[in-house]
Amino acid sequence: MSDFREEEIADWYDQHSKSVLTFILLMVKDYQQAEDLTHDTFVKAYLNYNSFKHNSSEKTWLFSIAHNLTVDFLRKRKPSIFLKEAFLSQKDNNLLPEEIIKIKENSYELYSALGEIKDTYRKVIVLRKIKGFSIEDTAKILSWSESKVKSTLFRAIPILKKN
Amino acid sequence: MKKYYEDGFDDQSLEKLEDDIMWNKTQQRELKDRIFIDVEKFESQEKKIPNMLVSIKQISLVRKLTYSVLAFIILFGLFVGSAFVSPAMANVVSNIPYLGQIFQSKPILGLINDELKEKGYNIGTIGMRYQPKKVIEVSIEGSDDYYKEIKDDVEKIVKGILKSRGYDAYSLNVNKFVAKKDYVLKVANTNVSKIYTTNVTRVTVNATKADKGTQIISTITEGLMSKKEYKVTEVGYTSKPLTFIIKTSILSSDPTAETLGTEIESMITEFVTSEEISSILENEPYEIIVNSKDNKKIN
Repeated sequence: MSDFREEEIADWYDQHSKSVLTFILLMVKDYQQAEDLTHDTFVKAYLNYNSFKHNSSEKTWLFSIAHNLTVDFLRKRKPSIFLKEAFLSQKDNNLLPEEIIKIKENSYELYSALGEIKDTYRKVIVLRKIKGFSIEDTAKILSWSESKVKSTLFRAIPILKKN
Repeated sequence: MKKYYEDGFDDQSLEKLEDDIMWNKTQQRELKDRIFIDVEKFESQEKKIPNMLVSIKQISLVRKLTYSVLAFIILFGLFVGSAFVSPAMANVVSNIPYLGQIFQSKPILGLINDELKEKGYNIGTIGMRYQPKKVIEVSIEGSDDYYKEIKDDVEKIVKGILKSRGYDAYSLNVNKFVAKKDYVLKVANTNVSKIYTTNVTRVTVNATKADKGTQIISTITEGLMSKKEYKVTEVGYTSKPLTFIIKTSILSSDPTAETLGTEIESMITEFVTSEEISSILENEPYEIIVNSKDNKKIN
């Protein structure tokens, strides 16, 4: 049983790890944290494999785990960021480690523009537009209602455009 | 139909971002290995929770604990601090009876003495008078210049101490210490008559154990005398039967006389019935009499 489980998770990792990592990366804007959170996502998926009900795709399930972990992480990190900014008046311009992760020149502008907007707007754009999830799946991942997904996205697009 | 936005971010470029981010393959494999090492570790050790890299629960628990401890310390500090500001405040906050607090703290003269000695002033005597006015007297030893130099400082310190205790009934008198010559007993020539001769051979002093009244009367005296609002001019007691007699400056015709009388009585009762004092008194019956200026009982 556990072998089967491991195989399945390994399979999922091969298919989705990059997508999960980039999603988290776009949220936390720090490669090392994104990698750690991806690690945690798959470990959690392994541990709670039995509670996966198969009423959505495994990708949606993995993304909701990743989303919850990221939100917890951001919530935890917020006060320290606030302090850092207040005392050092420094914006976290975490550069990506070039040899590990690369973003093509013409998309880099978009990547940084996404970094400027509000968390809720960012994640709805990332899930709907970049990852191509359906409204239903996005609602499941964020545990929002479908109409909230729709209206937030509607508001988010013009703001991204402005940046 | 594709939507194009003025600044060039369209659905297509958003979709392309996914492919434009490239993750190093070796790094991806390494992470996979790490995940499965951790998973296997968990399986073999049967631990409840494998080591998550970003542990959230534990930290927030520690944090919660830190915050609550900090909050507790701050609150406790405020609580104690407010008690330092004024004993009346401490009284309100902690419900420790006012007299009980003085009993627990040092007598006021000792406190002034210690404080001034600590500051290095050369103080001759410190005294307190209740008649005709309530005065605290501090005399400074040394030369005139020295007296002039430190007079103001001493006054300030003593006033500060009185204020910190909330004693407002005293006026302060700082003066220069004048050493009195030794008292000389002038004995008239006794040779005139040789009938009487006195030979003092031994003096016997009967040291008696301080009775129960003395142990607490000083506290009552200090507490009542030191505040203007109580209008107390004299405090006395008799030991058998135990009676506390308080004389006030209020006239019995004054409409507030009775209230003051009962207030003083209840203060003393509260003090005497407190745990500490009742253990000294050992349930001895006592009476409290509060008199007005014209010697009428007002309680």
